[in-house]
Amino acid sequence: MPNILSIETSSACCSVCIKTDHLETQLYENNAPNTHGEIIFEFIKTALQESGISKEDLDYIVFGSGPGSFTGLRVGCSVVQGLGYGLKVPIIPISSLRITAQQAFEKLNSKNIVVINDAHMEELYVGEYKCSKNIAVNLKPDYSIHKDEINELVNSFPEDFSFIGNAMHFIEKDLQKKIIYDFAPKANFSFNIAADLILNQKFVPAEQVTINYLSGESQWKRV
Amino acid sequence: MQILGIETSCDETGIALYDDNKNQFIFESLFSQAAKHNLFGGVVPELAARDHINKLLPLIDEEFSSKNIDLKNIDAIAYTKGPGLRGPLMVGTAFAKALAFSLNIPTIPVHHMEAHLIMAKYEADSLLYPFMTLLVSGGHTLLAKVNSPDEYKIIGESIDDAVGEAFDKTAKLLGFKYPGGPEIEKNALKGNLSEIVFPRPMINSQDFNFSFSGLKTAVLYEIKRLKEEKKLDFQKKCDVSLAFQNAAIECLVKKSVNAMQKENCNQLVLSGGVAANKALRKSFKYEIDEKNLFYPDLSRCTDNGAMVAFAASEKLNLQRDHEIKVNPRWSLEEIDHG
Repeated sequence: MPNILSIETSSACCSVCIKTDHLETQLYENNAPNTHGEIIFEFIKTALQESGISKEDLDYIVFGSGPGSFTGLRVGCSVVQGLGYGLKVPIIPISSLRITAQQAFEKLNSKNIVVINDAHMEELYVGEYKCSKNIAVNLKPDYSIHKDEINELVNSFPEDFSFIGNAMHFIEKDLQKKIIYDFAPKANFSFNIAADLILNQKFVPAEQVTINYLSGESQWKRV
Repeated sequence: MQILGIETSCDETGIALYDDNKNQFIFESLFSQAAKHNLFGGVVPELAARDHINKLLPLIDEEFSSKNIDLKNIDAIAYTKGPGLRGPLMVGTAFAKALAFSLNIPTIPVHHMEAHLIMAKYEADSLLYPFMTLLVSGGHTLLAKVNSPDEYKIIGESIDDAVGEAFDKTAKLLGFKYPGGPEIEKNALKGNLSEIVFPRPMINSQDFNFSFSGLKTAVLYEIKRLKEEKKLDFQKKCDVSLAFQNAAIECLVKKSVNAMQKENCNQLVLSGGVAANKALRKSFKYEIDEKNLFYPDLSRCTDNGAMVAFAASEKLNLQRDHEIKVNPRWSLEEIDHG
């Protein structure tokens, strides 16, 4: 098992975790919006200390690449780019919705999962996943919808789907679906996905890492 | 030592590697987002931050790879800590900290305006402390006396809009593209001195502060009048540009010259994006002996990474002074953490 540093900053929660061949550190997390920049290096340093490896021993860095909080993602992305480039370590970007789905699978044993998060400005981020060989796999690429479309979307899925995320309050109460409220992605749930991506050589050099915002430039008014 | 400078305070991604032993830049590189923000009529902070993320590391990698420079040659990373747009500043800062952490080297936070005004020192050995500086950009209009690289006295500043902002807004009112400053300058060259005369706000005030919002409003009403009278053709737009530029420049020049007299400074540094305006430079040459007038190379007037790296080097030089000084009664509360 290679030494992996995982960073997830797409929600109000900033979380960092390291996995080596003999241990997984505790999850270092801080659930306070807009403080990622203040705390992330302390988390990385402490996790390195607990893991017993030095930063030069890292083999991969996992980056929860969104969609989610623009500012949080940019703190995470900049840190990952700087570390990856300086240490010459490849980066494994993983959708933050996929990490959330993996979490639901590992913690609650949900097999078919739709992650729906509030994107603000009346939009929602949606990720559709199923569990295959113990890993959350995309049914289709993550996408965004208008918040008014949420009930129609939720209704379109069969009974065996669970709905997870911070946009659950937009769903009508009388829809008979399995709903799990507030499920922020955590860095430690990306390791199994990362192992699969490493096997399939799905990693990139730091200079190619980008954020998946899902929302483009259309919301800004052009002259 | 070699210092990597990173500037991301607004809409330019700038990097440079400065060797302070040789007093030269090993490389300088800049990506301007102006074309993107032109579509929106001004800087959109969120989109600026997005572009910094996409451009900063590729710019750095291109320089280090193509010039075959080992990252381990870098001794420190300087970054713009502020003032500027929060999102864009955050990108440069987080990246600088992470790269420095990975290379086990220190970071040096740099004040954006300080970097602008100190850059003139790089290009002119004859510039000596103390000197007066006029910093004019889209975000700032400031007169300061520079006693040393870490001692500034603000003599005057704009009480409302920055002069560069007034240039940009006038350009927008006239239908010119963003950034408006160079458009006003270009079209003013085709303008005629006409009956259009704009006010020179605060020009006779006893202090050294500036005001540009009244000038901007006067331009707004004049353009409105010309539109209503269906007289706002291209020539009239050029005439308005010239009249506006003359008014703004006269305020800047008069206050600067007065401030120099009051503070007994005979050398003036022009810095910031508006310092690239050739009409402004020409007006100052009428008032100040050319040997006492300094401004960065035109390419370094706008935001860039070179000024960040150089300003950091100047600060380090201060720390490496050879004075043998002790402070027997040094209080814990007097420690300066920068």
